[in-house]
Formats: sequence, C-alpha cells, structure tokens
Amino acid sequence: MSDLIQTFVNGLMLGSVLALVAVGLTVIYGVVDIVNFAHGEFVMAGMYATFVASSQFGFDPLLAMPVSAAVVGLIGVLSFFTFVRPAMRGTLLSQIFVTFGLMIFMRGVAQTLFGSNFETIQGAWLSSQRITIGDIVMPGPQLAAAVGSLVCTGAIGWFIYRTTTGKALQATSQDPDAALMMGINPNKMFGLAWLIGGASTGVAAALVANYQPVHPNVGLAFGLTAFVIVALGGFGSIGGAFLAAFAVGMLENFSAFYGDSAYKQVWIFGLFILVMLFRPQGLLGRA
Amino acid sequence: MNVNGLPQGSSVWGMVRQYLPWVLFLGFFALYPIVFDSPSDHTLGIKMMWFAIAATGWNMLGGFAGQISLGHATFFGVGAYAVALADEYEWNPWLAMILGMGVAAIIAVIIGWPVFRLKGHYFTIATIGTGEIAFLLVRNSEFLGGTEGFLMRSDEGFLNFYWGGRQKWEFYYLGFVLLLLAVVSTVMISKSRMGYYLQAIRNNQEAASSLGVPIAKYKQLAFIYSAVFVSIAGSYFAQQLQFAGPDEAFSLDTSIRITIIAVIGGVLSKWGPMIGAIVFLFLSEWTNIRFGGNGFDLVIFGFIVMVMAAFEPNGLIGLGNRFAHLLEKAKS
Amino acid sequence: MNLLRVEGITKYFGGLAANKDITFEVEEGELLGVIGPNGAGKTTLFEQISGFKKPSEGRVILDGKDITAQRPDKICSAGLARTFQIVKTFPELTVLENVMIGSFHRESSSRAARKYAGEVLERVRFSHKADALGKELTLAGRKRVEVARAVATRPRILLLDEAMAGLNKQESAEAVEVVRDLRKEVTVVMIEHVMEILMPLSDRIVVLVEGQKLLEGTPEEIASNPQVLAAYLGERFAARNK
Ligand SMILES: Nc1ncnc2c1ncn2[C@@H]1O[C@H](COP(=O)(O)OP(=O)(O)OP(=O)(O)O)[C@@H](O)[C@H]1O
Ligand SMILES: [Mg+2]
Repeated sequence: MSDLIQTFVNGLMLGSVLALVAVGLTVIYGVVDIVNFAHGEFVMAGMYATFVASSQFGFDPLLAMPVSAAVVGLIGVLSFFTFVRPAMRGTLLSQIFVTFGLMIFMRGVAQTLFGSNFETIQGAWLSSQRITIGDIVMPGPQLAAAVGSLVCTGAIGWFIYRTTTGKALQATSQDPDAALMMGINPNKMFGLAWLIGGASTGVAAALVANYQPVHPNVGLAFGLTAFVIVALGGFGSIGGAFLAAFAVGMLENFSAFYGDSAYKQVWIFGLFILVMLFRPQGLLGRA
Repeated sequence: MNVNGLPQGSSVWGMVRQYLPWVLFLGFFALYPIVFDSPSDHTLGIKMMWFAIAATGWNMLGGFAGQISLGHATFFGVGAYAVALADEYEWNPWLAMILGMGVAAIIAVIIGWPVFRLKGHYFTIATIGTGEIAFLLVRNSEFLGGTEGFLMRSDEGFLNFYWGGRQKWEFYYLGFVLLLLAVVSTVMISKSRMGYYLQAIRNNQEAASSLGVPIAKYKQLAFIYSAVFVSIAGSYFAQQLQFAGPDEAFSLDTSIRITIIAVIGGVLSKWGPMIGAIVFLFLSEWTNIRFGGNGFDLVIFGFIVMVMAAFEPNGLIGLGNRFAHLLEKAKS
Repeated sequence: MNLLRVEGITKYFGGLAANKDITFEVEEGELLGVIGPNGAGKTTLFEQISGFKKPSEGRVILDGKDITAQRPDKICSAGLARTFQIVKTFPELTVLENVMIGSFHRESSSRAARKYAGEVLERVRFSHKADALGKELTLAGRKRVEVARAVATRPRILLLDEAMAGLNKQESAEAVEVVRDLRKEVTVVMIEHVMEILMPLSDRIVVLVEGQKLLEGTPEEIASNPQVLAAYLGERFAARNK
C-alpha cells in the first residue's frame, strides 16, 4: 500500500516538473504557431548552465536558477529573431526544419563544449535534505523541483491570463493580424513568447539538475515527453498541458512500478498515439 | 522550382538542363572509387551510398509529399536486422533483404494508419513516437539481440551480399546499383501521376482532394516506397559494418541523420538527397579530421539546416537554382 | 430528371444554423445562380455538397445516387467539381501542372494529362500563363486556375464559389466569357455577389438569406421581388430597378 502511495507521490512530483517544461513548449506553440523541436535541448542547455554556474563559480544549483533562466530565455529570443522569424514566412517544411536544425545545432554545441560524458552537480544543498512522512520519502531535490515548478507554472498562468501584456500575448495567439490592428506588435509578442518559453524551461532545467546528471543528449527524453504532453493537452493549451503532465507523470511511475521500467516510454507514446487517434485536438484543445 | 521540370523544348540549352544532372551524378558516383582508390576512400564511398539511398527513399514521403517523418530509423533498422538475422540463422542475405523490404512495407502500412490522420507538426511528432516505440521494443527484445544487437560473419561473394567485402570497390558498386534502382524509380514516379499527386498533397491537401486525389492512399503509397528504400539502405549498411545494433539502426539519431541529408541537399528535388549525401559525408569527415569527432559536425549541420529553413528551404539545389537564375538574367 | 438534388440540408456550427432546411434541384445543362448577403451560408452549402463538411441533416443526390458526406475525391469521381472562394492554388506547381492535377483524374498517363490540361487552358483563355508558378499569379489568375483545374476533372456539374470576386472590370468581363463557354458543356451552379454579372448568365437563381432559401426563380422574378430587394439588393439597386 505504501508502495502505491510512494509511486503516486513520485508521479505527482514528476508531473509538476514536466508541466513546467511542457508549458514552455505550449506557450511558444500557442503564440507563435511553431513547434519547437529543440525544446528538449533547451532543458539540456539550462542544465549545463546550472552545472557551469555551480562547478565553475560555486553557485548552489538553487541560486543558479536565474542564470539558467536567463541563458535559455536568451537562446529562445535569439533563435527567434535570427532564424525562426524568417522561416515563419516560408512553407510548413521551413517551419519544421528550422527548429529541427536548432535541435541539432544545440546538441552539437553541447558535445563540442562539454564532451559526451555525464556530469553531475556535486554538493548541492538540497541533495542532503529529505522529508519523510510515515513510509513515504520525498527527497529534497525532487520535492523542491516539484514545488518550484508549480510556483513557476502558476506565475506564467497568472502573467498570461491576468496582466495586460499577457492579454496582448493571447490576442496575438488568436490572430496576429487583428492584434496588429489593435496596436500590438506581433513580433515583440512572438519574441516574448520565446523568452517566456525559454526562461521557464531554464528554471525547470536548474531544478532538475539537482538530481539528474547532464549530458548532450539529455534533452531527448524531456523533449519527447514534452511533445507528448503538449499534444495530449491540446497544442497551445496551458491548462491541458498541466493536466496531461500529471497524467504522464503518473503513467511513467506506475508503468515502471507494475512493469518493466525499460518500457515506460512505450506506454507514454502508446497513450499519445491512442489519444491522437481518438481525440486529435488533445484533451482540452479546441477541435 | 518544380520537381518535374517541364521539357525545355528542343533547344540545346534545354537538353543540357535536362540531362546534365544525370551526367554529373552518375559520372561522380560511377567514377568515385576509381578516382579515390584507397580502401578507406572506398569505406567512405560505401557510406555515401547508403546515405544517398536512405535519403532518396525518405524524400519520396518527406520532400514530394511534404510529410516530414522523424521515424524512418524503424525501416532502416528492419533492413539491417533482416540481414543480421539471416546471418545468424544462415539464410541468404539477398532474400533476407527482400523479406526486409516486405516487412518494412507492412510496418509502414500499420504505422501509416494512425499517423496519417495527423497533419504537419503533429505528424512529425507522431513519427518520433512510433520510431521511439520501435527502438525501445527492439532494444528490449532478446530475440532481436537486446542492447547488443548482432555481430555478423558474412562470407565474401556476390551471392552473399558481401561482394569484395567491406572497403572494396566491388561492394561500393553493389551499392551503386541499389542507388540507381532508387533514383530511377524515383524519377519514374516523379514523372507519373503519383509524383504530381504527391506534390499537390504537399501544396494543399484540400485542393488536391477536391480534384479527386485520394489523399490517404497516395500518402500511404509514398510511405511504403520510402520505407522500402530506407530498409534497403539499412541492409546494405549492416552488410558493410557486419553489425546491426539498436543504437546504430533504430535510434532517433539515425532518423535525424537521414533527414539532415535530404534537407541539406534540397527536399524539393530528386537530386537533393544525393547532393546531400555527398556534402554530408565530406563535411562530417572533414570536421572529424579537423576537430576530432566531438560533435562539431552537428554544429555545422544544425547551422546549415537553420539557414536553409530560414532562407532557402530547397537546400543546396535551391541555392544552385537561384545562382543559375541570376546567370540567365545576367545573360539576357 | 434533375442532375443534382439538395434535400433539406441543415448545418449547425455550435448553436448557429448556417444552413436551414435548404432544398433545390439543378437540371442538366442549366446554370443556377446562388445569391445572398455575406454570411448567408452559401459557401457552407457548397462545402456540404462537395463533401468537405458533413450536413447536420439532409441529403445530397447526384444523378440519382446519394453522395451525402462522401469523401471529396469520391464526389469528384462521381462527376462534381468545385472551386474555392478562398483560392487554394498549388503555389509550387506551374499553372499547367495545377491543371494537370485535375486532368489526371480521368487520364492516367502524364502525356495525356498534360495534353488535356493544355486544352482546358485554351478554353479558359489562360494558355499564356501555362509556365508561371502558382505563387506568382495575381488573384484573377488564381481564380482562373481554380476554374481550369475543376474543369479538367471533366465534371458533369461545376460549382463555382465567387470565381469573379475581387477582379477588376476587364478581368471579370473575361471571366464571364469563360463561364459562357463552359456552360455549353457542363451544368453550372455559381455563387456570385455582383448581380450585374449573375443575372444575364443564370437560367434560374436561388436566394439564400440567413441560412434559409428565401426564394427561387428566373432572374426576372428575382429582380422584381420586393423581399429580395429589401433583404439583399439594398436600397440602391431597388431604386434603380423602379
Ligand atoms: N467552420 C465554421 N465554424 C463556425 N462557423 C462557421 C464556419 N464556417 C462558416 N461559419 C459561419 O456560418 C455562416 C455562413 O458562412 P458562409 O461562409 O457559408 O457564408 P457565405 O454566404 O459564403 O458568405 P460570403 O458571401 O461572405 O462568402 C457565417 O455566419 C459564418 O461565420
Ligand atoms: Mg462564401
């Protein structure tokens, strides 16, 4: 019984981190109408930023969080203004290829700079903390990541749904031309979406770096999972992504608990394909 | 640029434009092992062959029909594992390759059923999904060699699909014949109704279906074609390496590589994947020698793909066409 | 017997009824005009006839066969072709190739398809642009390609959705001539806003207002009907026809 509860708690913790990663992806898609195939690599970049800040400059990963957010946010904005914006004028193929290229590029940069080894952050303050309730264990890093992600996801939701700038973002996402008529500069909004998408992913990455080693291909699993979540939740839907993230977090933990953990990704993709078949607009997406 | 360049009349210039690519490509690929005649050059040439075959196959779906798949490693893997299993159980590798083509076609039909309900980005993501599922299933299957895969010990000889063995010009020309098969069939399709229909599908699915194009059927046909040729490339690859493993054959990296090759060369042209194969090979070898195999090639390829997507989506062929256009303008 | 029969077509978008119980028939060889103010549901009606949208209720019968909600390509095979109000030219194909996609429907060889596409381009007087790319065309050119492609499928009945909207005087005069030629061989149903164009071309006209068929009759009957004048043509036109 306590095993089940533990698995459930693990699912919750994983789900909230995944939610933040996926929300970054879905904000970009929702506003800019581009799927960022490099999203997993954004996580990877944030983890390396955290790793460098902690190993070279002695920052605790928690303190490195703003650094990671800034680095990944900047990567997002830069990629938008250099390559993505011109590609948006092109065909669907250009739009797919541009972030596909970014994904390869970022992996290459990581391999060139850091080699292919697994790097682990040493001596993080959180790693010695844990909370135990009965038989249920919540290791500090995972718990902090979950809480931090929830806070950050909430902040993004508040920004988009409650502030004027957020409403301008929404207006742009519905109809860039109409937004332009209302005096909103769509390019600024697109850039902002990449900034938010990047920075929030950077925060998630710094939190994850507390308990997971980083290597150039670490983004793959994150990116794939984030795609699945965003597709499940309905592309561009923040609420949908949030729900789907927890569904996937649970599925990942329970499939590993009941079956062979080697197959957990099979379950996730299987679920994805099933949902695509029967509800292609996702859980909360509009048809 | 349209894929089916219309016959350019009877002018000499038109003839040149029509046949020059054939002469250049066939000439290059046919003469390569003679000009570059060391065994290591032959190894590279053999690599170039399977790059070109795989990317040409991929391009029927990705370029002509405009359905960008990042899951074609599955078919590459099927081809590779077909001959590897043949080696394990002492069947004939040629027959195994043909069997592999059939299996690839069947898997394409099975995968196509769900994924073709999706369009654009969704389709691409779904193919990543099917690719990863196949990868994980193979990696965890004992019958298929698990994470280790299969080491092969083919006997030399044409009948064993190991003519001259690896690093020999004979094996290179074997690949050349397979590539010719891919190119000739691609050209034939591109000039047929199917070729036109696929381009119509890429350009606008609704318009195509209003004109009587059965979209699902033609996407499926393109998928089968591309799966079959990618599986041929996989068989050839495994025969050369004498090895088939999940990470080399079934992983997303393989799908990505096939895609990069086509994209760099130019997906809107039947010659694009071959240019891509040549450029990809030489750039990656050059960076390996110059910078060591540390991922710098990915930096370059990623950068090129981004630039292409933003400024010339039809890759090097597109650049070439622009250049030719400028020249013609300057002349008149 | 009639060639096309639309029977009680009703279409809801959420709560909004874009089409309400629309019934009419089209005789072989005739040209039926469809008019109605913006948002009356004309395009929605075409979308359902051609299989792009499924009617909430009602049936579409082509030459005695029920084709309701069949796939668009099946409906094309049954002999009904359509154009799009918002043009969907294939941008990366040349004009000739655009038309070939249509002619391939009845010709399996490229040679025959190219030949027939060339003939169709002659008929719609657009041969001079055969080698231009779809994306290089003006709106008038794109609308012409829409028509040519549809004609090239050799339909028995052709649905034209505002094939002349947005064209200047000269362009639309030319387009009218094209339609005059075409209707000698094929039954036509055409949506058009400009009354001056539609009236002289049509044998009969159907008037849609707010999703419903308000009226059906000869151009003269329509032009003199006070309801139509009030609902659709507006004061200006009414005054002029007094
Ligand atoms: N996919 C859709 N979802 C919701 N409402 C729709 C949809 N398509 C059309 N409508 C609505 O249905 C009504 C009829 O639209 P339709 O395009 O058929 O009008 P129309 O007569 O062709 O107008 P126009 O002359 O402007 O072309 C309009 O109110 C429109 O907003
Ligand atoms: Mg309309």
